[in-house]
Amino acid sequence: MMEVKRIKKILIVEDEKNMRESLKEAFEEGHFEVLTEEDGENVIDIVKEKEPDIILLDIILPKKDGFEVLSELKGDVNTRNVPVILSTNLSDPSDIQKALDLGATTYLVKSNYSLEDIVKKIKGAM
Amino acid sequence: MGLLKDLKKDSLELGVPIWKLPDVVLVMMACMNIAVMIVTYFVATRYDNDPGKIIVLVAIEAIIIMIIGNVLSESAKQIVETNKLKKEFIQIISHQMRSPLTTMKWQLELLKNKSSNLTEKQFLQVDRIYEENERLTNMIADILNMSRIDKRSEHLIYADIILENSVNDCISMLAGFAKFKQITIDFKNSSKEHKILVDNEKMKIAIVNVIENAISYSKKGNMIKISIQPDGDFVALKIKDQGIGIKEGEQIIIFNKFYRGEGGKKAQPEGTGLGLFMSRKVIEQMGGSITLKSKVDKGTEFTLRFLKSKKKRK
Repeated sequence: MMEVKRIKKILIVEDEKNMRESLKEAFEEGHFEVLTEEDGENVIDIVKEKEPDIILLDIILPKKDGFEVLSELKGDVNTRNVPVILSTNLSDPSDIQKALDLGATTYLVKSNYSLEDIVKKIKGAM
Repeated sequence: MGLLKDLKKDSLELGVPIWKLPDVVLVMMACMNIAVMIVTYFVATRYDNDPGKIIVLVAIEAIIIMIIGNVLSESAKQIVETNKLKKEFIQIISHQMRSPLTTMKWQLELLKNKSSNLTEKQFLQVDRIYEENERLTNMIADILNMSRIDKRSEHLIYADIILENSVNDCISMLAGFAKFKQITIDFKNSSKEHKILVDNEKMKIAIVNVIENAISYSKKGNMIKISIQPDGDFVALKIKDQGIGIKEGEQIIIFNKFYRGEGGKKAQPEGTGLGLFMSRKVIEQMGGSITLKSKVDKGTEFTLRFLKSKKKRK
């Protein structure tokens, strides 16, 4: 039987609207189904409900920051296997180490990447 | 006069008045101690049968020392506070400024991808905005890295790492910039891996700076060759470009803080002059070295030497 290639679903958690829209557009062009959230509060519920294949999670977020969200996701049996890519603009080595210790698959410093490279990196992490 | 100048400089840098500088307060405290001791001696010899007066004098001395000590601790607190504020300011600025710049870069990229609607001239204009945006982003990164590296107290986190992997990370970080400038980076992983003992994150800042310069000062279509080879107790990373080169007289001072080579200023007027200064500082902190060979209009070869991991040293 031939396997049907399913469209991959990504959840983008990013508080800055224009940045979120740029990412959304790039991933849609990269043939992803895109879900977006602008803060960290409901991420875990959304992940349980919509079951994305991968999450691109900003660190600095209103209500609940990326580290808290990441700990929640990794602490729940239903969500711990979803790969999480932390995105940041800080490039602080201690933040990066903290993200990896908490179970992030990898991290990316947004300003170092073009949209094309982010889509490539995410595809590589899946 | 030189001493006063130094004190004035310290006072400006640390953000406290001269008389509150810890060095000055310590000298004041020592002088006060000596003065009180002399007075105590004279009083004691004159009123040697009145212990009450001597006790009062010693008490006054203790109070004066306490007051000066308090000034000392206050000024130390002020200095720590100023440094903390400076660090927070740089962190906030760099984050706040990077976000809109990143969004602008991405929007320009989307605009270029939909280039069918753009005329050739418009495409070129978008390209120029993109390039300027990259420059500004790099400048902010330089300032942020500078604030991290330019601290004597900062500890390095050493680990044995494979240099080839870090170089690949650095190249992928700069892939977009190289593609934009139409520069090919040639780095072939040799079959042998080279283990070195460094602070990986800081070393990557240094390597990225050197490769970024090589890209910035190369012409369209040029190639940058990167190679790794053992060199005694060190591993040498060579980064060779075909760019504008550096004049002989500038080859040493190019590593100075804020110094920018004449050719460099022409080719890229907006640089900060911090990149190579930072690279050298961080490499030397780790026991390595950075040297260069260059010919004007032919290109430059930088050699970065890092200490081999202990097991590999002879």
